[in-house]
Amino acid sequence: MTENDALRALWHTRPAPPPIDLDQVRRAARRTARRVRFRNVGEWAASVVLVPGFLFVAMRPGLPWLSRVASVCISLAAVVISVWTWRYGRMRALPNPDESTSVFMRAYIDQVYRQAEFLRTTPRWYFGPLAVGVLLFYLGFLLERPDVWAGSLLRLAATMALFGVLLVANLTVANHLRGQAQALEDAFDEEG
Amino acid sequence: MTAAARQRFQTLVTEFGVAIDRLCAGYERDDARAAELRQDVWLGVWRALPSFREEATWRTWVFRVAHNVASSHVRRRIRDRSTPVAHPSDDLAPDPQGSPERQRSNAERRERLRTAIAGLRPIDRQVILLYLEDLSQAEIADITGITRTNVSTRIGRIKAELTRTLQETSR
Repeated sequence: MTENDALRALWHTRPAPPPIDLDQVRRAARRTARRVRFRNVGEWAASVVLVPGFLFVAMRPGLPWLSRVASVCISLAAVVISVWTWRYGRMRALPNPDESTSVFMRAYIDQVYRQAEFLRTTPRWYFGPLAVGVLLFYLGFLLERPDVWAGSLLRLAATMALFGVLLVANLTVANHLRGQAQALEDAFDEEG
Repeated sequence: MTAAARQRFQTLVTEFGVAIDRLCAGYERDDARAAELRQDVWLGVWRALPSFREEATWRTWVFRVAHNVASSHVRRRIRDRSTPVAHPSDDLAPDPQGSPERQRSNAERRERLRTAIAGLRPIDRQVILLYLEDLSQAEIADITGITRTNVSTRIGRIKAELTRTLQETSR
């Protein structure tokens, strides 16, 4: 027996596995379909709730006019964010699992790169518009309601600090995803 | 899913069940994870069944799905940065044939081969697992999407590497 045959023969001595439970497979398939449906409904519901929420704030009585304008701006920013997220942020369907591995993996790696780029550009399409809106909102209070300037300033600082933390988190995850995509590319490099 | 599809799935499980089990063992050194992967592979086959096109044979098709599902496990491993755990497993249980000493020796060598395969780069592991399942170079090229020449070169290199590792670890 040659060394090649010996490797194959050795590999084939593995004892037969216990039989697969077909019902279990079907149940798992149904669970997966349910999970995907639930996630899609969740994303849709979040965008539906976000915009009216900010518009409601804009209509509150006693709000300084600049803050009212800012609330509408934030509401518009929420629309932009929802559309942007739907357009570029959602996970796209991968090719059928019966495609060749190189096609399948390429699609997945591209998806990870897309997600990284999506997060890397958050200052432009997420934090930028929101931060301007929030800044104007509190500026309205600072100009028209000097009696509450200290509280407004504190809330503005807290919101900006929160934005800062989220921004750093997004950029960190973007870097991590980029590294992951590169690691996958190296791992599945055909020339290696 | 039609009755015909259910029947087809059952046939695939019967025909390729053992080969898929070996494949999963090659991807996952931990037996519990290998069993999970095996379940995921069959789930993948079940879900992809309606998309089967006559361009491929059932064997090529099943192995394609299996390797893509297994590649997802590699992705998760890279994401988790976790290290596979090598367990002395029930794989060391005696085979039904041969003397007990020979069975034990075979099981130990097989476990070493499994460990060596699990340590390969993903694309190399995929190629060698398909080779060990007696698939032709053309079939392997079709499944992996790399050229036949590349498959041929790769198989030669990996076999030499595995043989060397087996010899070194048996000393």
